Formats: sequence, structure tokens, C-alpha cells
Amino acid sequence: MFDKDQDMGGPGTVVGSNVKLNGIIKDLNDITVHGTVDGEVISEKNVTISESATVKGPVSAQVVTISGKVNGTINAVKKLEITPTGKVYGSISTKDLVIRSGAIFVGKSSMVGIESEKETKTPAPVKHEENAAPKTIKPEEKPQTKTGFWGKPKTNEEK
Amino acid sequence: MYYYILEQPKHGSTSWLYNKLRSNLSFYGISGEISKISPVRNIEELAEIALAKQYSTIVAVGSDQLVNNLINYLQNKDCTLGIIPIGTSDLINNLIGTNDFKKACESLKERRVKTVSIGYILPDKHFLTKAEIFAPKPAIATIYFDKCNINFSFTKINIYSPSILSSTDDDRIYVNIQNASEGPNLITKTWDWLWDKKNNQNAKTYLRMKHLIIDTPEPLSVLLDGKIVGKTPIEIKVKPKVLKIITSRVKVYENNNK
Repeated sequence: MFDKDQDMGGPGTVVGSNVKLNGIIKDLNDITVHGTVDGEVISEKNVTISESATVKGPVSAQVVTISGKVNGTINAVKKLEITPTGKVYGSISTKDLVIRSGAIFVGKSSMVGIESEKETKTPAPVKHEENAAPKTIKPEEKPQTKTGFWGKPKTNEEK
Repeated sequence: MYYYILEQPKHGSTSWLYNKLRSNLSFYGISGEISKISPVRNIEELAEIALAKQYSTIVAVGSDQLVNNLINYLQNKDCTLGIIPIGTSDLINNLIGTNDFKKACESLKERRVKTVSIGYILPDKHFLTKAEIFAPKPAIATIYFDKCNINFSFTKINIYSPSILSSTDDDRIYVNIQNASEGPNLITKTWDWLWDKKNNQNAKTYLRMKHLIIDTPEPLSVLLDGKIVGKTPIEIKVKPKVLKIITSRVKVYENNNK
């Protein structure tokens, strides 16, 4: 229905390779960056940083795919993938991390979900039987030794 | 009930369609008062007459230019816009669901009303289609929107009104930035086509926002329907859900293969 000239693209945001963006870019749908972004990139769905892209600032989305350069923190709720051409300088936080051979990652990594499992682990409660007799602590019984008439312990030869 | 505003015919075929208009309208049972735009009566006067007579539907019979001029007077009014497309662009055809004269008359009879948002070029121009900025050579521009500004070089900027994205409820203006000098040239496109490679579309930018200001070092003309409506720097906003428009009904065919 549309002419070739009327290229509608998809419902998301695309930053072209010849574009330099300063500020916070937010979208409910996917964001794809081919150019330069000096600021935040926030999406409710997916963020794709292409090979020609450079982002200086935090990136936040459900799924993040890095093929370019990112200087900043990355928070990917579901999955983060750094492809062979990707370079990340900063801390990352994700549930599922994939770093391909050739990728560069310099920073701290925290895996969401695994750390929270460790923190919430508590010792299992001790089970008490209701009808069991109360345990009494008996003094340690000394081993019985045979003694002679005068109370002296018998040696093995006398036994 | 229906007030029809006819654009001045540009071709002989349009005059022939206008002659058939009355018979078609009576066939579909949507007859009404018909007025033509003339040097004596412009569109503003005809719209005021229709609103004063309290017509429930004003129908634009003509091209995109007539529609974009008419919506200036119909926002937030208790009146619905109908369109019978004659020489309209794909944008209007997609919005109303047809490019056919007869199907548009059927839609007017069925009256499926949709409330849409429109674009607003300050100070006083509204549009339902798109505005354009051309640069004969790659020019530098800055767009300020939300908490962002972007700098880029371009040869063409298309600014679409929110209603064009009819498949979604996105109430934002859609901006498409192109730079013909940076995209793949004809030789590259042919080579990629021979080897079934995907063309590099990275030179295009697609953005969505509710309010933007476009600024260029030198003033460039902003075009709407091929006519100049302003020069950069220019401010464009969204007017959300201000216009009621009749669109075509979606037909659902039952599967009888049981």
C-alpha cells in the first residue's frame, strides 16, 4: 500500500548510523542503535546496539544485544548477549549472559536470580516427634573393671 | 445529516466522478447538501456553514489537501469527518481503508467512527498525512524532543501524523530521516540483489515523539501536500484524539468448510 519512499519501519525506534543523539531515549518497543548515543537507552522490550554504534551511558531493557561499543552499565532483565564484535566497558546485570568468542568485556558482572537464591537460603527447621519420651541425659558410664578382694583392679593374668 | 464539500476538479475524470456523485449517494441512502469550493466560497466558509447548520457529518470529496485544510475546523467539534477519496495518497487510503469511490460511499453508510490524533505545525496548521523537509544537498539539522536532541545530516525528513500508524494506538508523531548520500547506491543495491544480500538500511532513522522542534543552520521550507507551510526552525506537536473520522468496517468471513 505504501510507496517505496514511505518506509514506515517497525513500531520501535531506530537511530541511524549518521545520527548523534544526546539525552535519554525511551521507548515501549524495541530500540536499535546504529549511530552514537551520549546518554541513556531505555526500552521495555529489546535493545540492539549494532556494530557501528557507540553508546556512552546506561542501557536498560528486557533483552540486550551488543555488537558495538558501550561505555556504561547494562541492565538486561532476561538476557544479555555480547557478540564477537561487541565491546562493553562497565558493569552488567542480567539473568542470562552470553559472551561470544572475540567479545570484549571489562567490568563487573552480577547474575540476577542466582545471588538472591543464596541470600534467601535458611537452615531447615528441626522436627520434634510429639509422642516421644523426653530424652534424659545419662552420665557417661565408666567401663566396668573387675577388682579383687582388696579393691585393686585385677590384671589380665589374675583374670 | 451529510454535508459534502467538493474540491475544485483538477482533471476531466474528476468532473465525471462529481457528476456520478449524486446518483451514488442516493443509491446508498446518504444524500445530503453538496457544495463546491470556488473563488466565491472558500473551505473555511463552507465548514462554518456546515457547523452552523449542525450537520452530523462533513464529507471531504477530494485529495489530501482538502482533508488537511478541513480538519483545521473540525477538531473537538460534535461533528464527524468523512472522506471520499479522489486523488488521495496511500496515507489517507490506508487510514479510511479504501481508495475506491464506491467503497468509500459504503463506509459512509456503515458509519464506523474512529477518534484519531492529528499533527499540529505551529502556529496554525494541522495535518492528517505528512509534512516534509527536503535538502537539495545533505544538510545538517537538530531535532529537540522529550529529553533528547539529535544531530544528523539529511536529504529528506518525513513527519507523519499519529493517525497514520492505524494498526497501533501509538499517539506519537513518527519521524523518518533519510540521507541519500549515505545509503547504498544503485551499483551496491544491484550487487546485493544478485548475491541475495540484505541492503544496509543503517542510514535511515525512525523516531517517535509527541513534541519536537526541528532546527537547521539555514532556513529550509516545510512542505505539506506540496505547498510551503513554514520554514525551519519549526515546532510540531500532537493533538491527541481530537478528530472523529469514518473508516471502513473490517469484514470477517466465516469459514464454511466444515
